[in-house]
Amino acid sequence: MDLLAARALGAGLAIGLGAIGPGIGIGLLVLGALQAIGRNPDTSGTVLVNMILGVAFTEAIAIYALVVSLILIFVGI
Amino acid sequence: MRKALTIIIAVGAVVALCGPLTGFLYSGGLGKSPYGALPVVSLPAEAIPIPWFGGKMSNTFFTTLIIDALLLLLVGLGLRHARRGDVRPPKGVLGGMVEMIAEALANFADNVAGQRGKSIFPLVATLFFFILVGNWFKLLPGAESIGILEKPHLANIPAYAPRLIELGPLSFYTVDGTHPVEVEHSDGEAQADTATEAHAAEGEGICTACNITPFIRGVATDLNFTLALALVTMALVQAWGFRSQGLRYLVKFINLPALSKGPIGVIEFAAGLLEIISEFSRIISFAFRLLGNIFAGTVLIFVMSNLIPFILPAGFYGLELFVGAIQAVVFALLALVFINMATQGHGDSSHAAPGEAAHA
Repeated sequence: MDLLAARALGAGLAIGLGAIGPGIGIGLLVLGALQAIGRNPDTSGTVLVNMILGVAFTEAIAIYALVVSLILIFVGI
Repeated sequence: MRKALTIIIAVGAVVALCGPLTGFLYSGGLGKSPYGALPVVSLPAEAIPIPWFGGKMSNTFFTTLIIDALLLLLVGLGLRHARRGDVRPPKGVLGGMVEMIAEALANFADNVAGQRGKSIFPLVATLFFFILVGNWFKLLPGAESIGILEKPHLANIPAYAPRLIELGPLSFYTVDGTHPVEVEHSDGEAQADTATEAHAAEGEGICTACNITPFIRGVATDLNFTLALALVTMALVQAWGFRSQGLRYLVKFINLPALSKGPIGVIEFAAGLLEIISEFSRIISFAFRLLGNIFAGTVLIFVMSNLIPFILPAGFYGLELFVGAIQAVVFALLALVFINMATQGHGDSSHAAPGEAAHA
């Protein structure tokens, strides 16, 4: 396997595997938020703000994987 | 209700009209017909020549200038309205939309930050409008697809033979997707090449292996833009923290008072040190969240326009409208929340936050 192929493969694996956890996490977050809103629709404003905040922090982990794969593709090693 | 219906119809019309046109221009003509070329995916911004002055600037910087001009125009219109002492709600679609968005943001700031919301709101609204206009600007038909015909600067960009198209009085060049050409990268000739290729668009001399460097490119597809926004935002968060708490703000990071509490205090001190790392990771996640989402959207439309060039890209175009707005909201909201967290002291944060949330 030459270097270019290895980097392409690594980049794909990095974001592919790195997106699994945050995907599950964001699903759980939205599940909880929707259940909370369903139980008490009056709090939807507060729940929504906190949900977006939580989603942003969860998404940050996928972003680290994205950074790694972007570096693998675009930055010369 | 009627307002919402108008907006939905307007968005639908934009998607139906601009979506296919954007896809058409992206694929360099009628898709898989002779003009269709592979998309250019380049993370660094491309350089375009500066008119009249010479030299080069990046196309994202050029787009930023246009967006700045647009936003200043918007501010000017609003100021003219306000100077006249008008307190009536603004008329027209544009005024109504800006007012609606600003009102929603102001309510949001009030809900999250309470008393402090009024002082935080201007920054949050600025960030929101800047990012929103920046994200939507790249969706205009012609953005990221009309540009200079020149030899690609990077090795991994495909190059094609140029093709002249004449439509009545109009004549322009596009790339011929069926004729990929190998680029010979020679460093010695690089200077001479850029000089001749600058004139290529005017028809004096044409390159043999070309691709198109767009004039306008989405600002958030450039890490320089998103990183600058993230740095400014996080610097302002610290500034807000110092302004509202003075030097006590530092206790959040270097928790010396906790050390006097014995063994448990040591753990609190270490947690304070971790806060420093989390501040820096916020810069990274701010910058790369925006970059990743918008850059991925650009690539998505590129690829879809090449696969199925006619109707399908309109759907993804609608998705990109949505993503652009959501990312602007997320950036503004996170800035708001971080500033709010910085203004609340270490001690009173646990009491104040739920109380304010309950009022919201």
